[in-house]
Amino acid sequence: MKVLKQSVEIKKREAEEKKQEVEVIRTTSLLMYTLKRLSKNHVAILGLGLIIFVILVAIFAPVLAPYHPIKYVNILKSMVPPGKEYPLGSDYLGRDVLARIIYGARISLMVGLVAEMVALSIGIIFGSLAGYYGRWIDQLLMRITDIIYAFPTVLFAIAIMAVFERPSITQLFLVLGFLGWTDIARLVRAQFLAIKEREYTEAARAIGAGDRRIIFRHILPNCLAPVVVATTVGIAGNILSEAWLSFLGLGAQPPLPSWGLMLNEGQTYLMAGKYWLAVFPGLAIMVTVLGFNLFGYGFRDAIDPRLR
Amino acid sequence: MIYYILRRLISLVVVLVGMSLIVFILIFVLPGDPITAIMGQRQDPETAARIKAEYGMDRSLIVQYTKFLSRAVRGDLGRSYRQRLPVIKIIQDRFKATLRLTLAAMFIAIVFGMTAGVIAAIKQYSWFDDLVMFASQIGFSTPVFYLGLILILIFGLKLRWFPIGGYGRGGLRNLVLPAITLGTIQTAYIAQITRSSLLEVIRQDFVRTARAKGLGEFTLIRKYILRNALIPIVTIIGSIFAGLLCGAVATEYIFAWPGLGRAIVEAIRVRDLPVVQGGVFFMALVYVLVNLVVDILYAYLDPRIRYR
Repeated sequence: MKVLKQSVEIKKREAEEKKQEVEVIRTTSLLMYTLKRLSKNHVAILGLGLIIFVILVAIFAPVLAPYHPIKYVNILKSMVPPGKEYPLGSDYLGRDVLARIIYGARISLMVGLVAEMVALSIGIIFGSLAGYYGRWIDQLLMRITDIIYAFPTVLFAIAIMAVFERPSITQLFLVLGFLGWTDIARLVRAQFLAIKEREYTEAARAIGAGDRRIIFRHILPNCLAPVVVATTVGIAGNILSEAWLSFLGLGAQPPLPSWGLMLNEGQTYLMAGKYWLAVFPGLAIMVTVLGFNLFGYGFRDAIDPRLR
Repeated sequence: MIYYILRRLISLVVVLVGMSLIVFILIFVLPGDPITAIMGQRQDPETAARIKAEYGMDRSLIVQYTKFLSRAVRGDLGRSYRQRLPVIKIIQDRFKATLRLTLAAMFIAIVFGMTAGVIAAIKQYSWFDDLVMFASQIGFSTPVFYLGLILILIFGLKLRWFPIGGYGRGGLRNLVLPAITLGTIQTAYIAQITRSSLLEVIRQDFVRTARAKGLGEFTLIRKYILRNALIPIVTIIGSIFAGLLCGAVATEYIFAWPGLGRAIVEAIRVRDLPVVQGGVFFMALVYVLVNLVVDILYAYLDPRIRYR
């Protein structure tokens, strides 16, 4: 009797396993599979939630902000601590800190995203060419990558931005983009080297697919997951760099409500106990960067089962 | 091994030539007239021409670059526009303080990061593990200069435990807050690498064998697991050092620490480009050399690397 029960159980389990297998086969697309694993990763979801929150704040800034971030100036009400009138206090010109933080999300996100788009374009082109064609093209492109990679990015950005007489946010995201592509180029190249040798690439070539088709249809989609991770972490790094360079006066210029710039202005008043000018913009930076970092971290976990 | 070192040295030369070219372009070719920086707005053409000749700016770019390169090799990075001192002298004076701060931060990062990482890995999935992983994400997401300001606010202004800045008489009291500020991100980094590296080793067969033959848990961790897990940790020391050097600029600025990073920021303010570029070039050079040493060390520890 007992044996029979066991064998029934085993049969049941086998059926279940088969069902799961079928499910795995049914969701053939790599993207769907990744998304499914991702939705079960709490860290990634938390990160995504934070990112969406910051994006919504940036989009609906005019609705959310109680005052205009730049035009609203009231010298008589300067340096008011957080309270009813100004939820997060007012700055030395009587501008509302909360309104400036809300609008600042636009600057941070814009610099983070645009710089990363620049980096992504250069990185994918360099990595694909080097990985696919190999030989001297690989040698040349990777030596260039090594040189840029050898520089500590933020220091390099400081050195370049210091050259401009009037630094601006546009120059800043171009500079960050031109410095930030090396990781992506190396990742894409490594994927190319690995996938180039696989059977399905060979099969594609055997049925007469050209270079372009092989690159865009067969190899690049496989780079997606690691590149997404590098991109989110890259955006986080760009936002941090923007804050730091604006803090130094090498990025956004007054009266723009950049978080880094606000911290710079707030720093002066910290000694006088006016903490809100520096504390809140810094928290905004932290939350935004944390969102991107958590998402990248969780995503890496989701696509790489070895890590957990 | 000798072949490997030779190959690395050749690629180092390529990287250095590339770096020198970039620094040269930054100083001499990009906009931002150095004559204006030296003379100010009031300038007569005759004196301008004399200064141009003095700095060799009247020659062709190729001649200028060769001169710049041959001087740089001999340790001559040009003269400060403002302080009328050789840049290398400023670097010599200031780098000692930077090194002191960086080493203190590195000590903090290694001690706390490795301890946290080891405990988190041994007690995987415990509350301590979660705490370490979450705290390290927060650590990654906090801008160095913001952390510095917060520490000043709490421990300098409110509790008055530590001075809010300056070098003091070279005692430890002045070093505590800057070193913690600078070391935090790298502590997080080391904790994560230690944890994942340990987790990988714990699952290997020889660990199971050692445990099966009855070795005590402590001996097992110390003699078998840690020794193998250390290799990846040693290799990131290079990137940690680089991260610390970059972070040192921010930390020194916030805490009025008289290091090279602060000298660079001060030079940005007065547009003293040779000091900015020379300082950045020097830091990048240290970074590249440290990475070279680490790579060779890694190849020594793990013979497989040499043949890649």
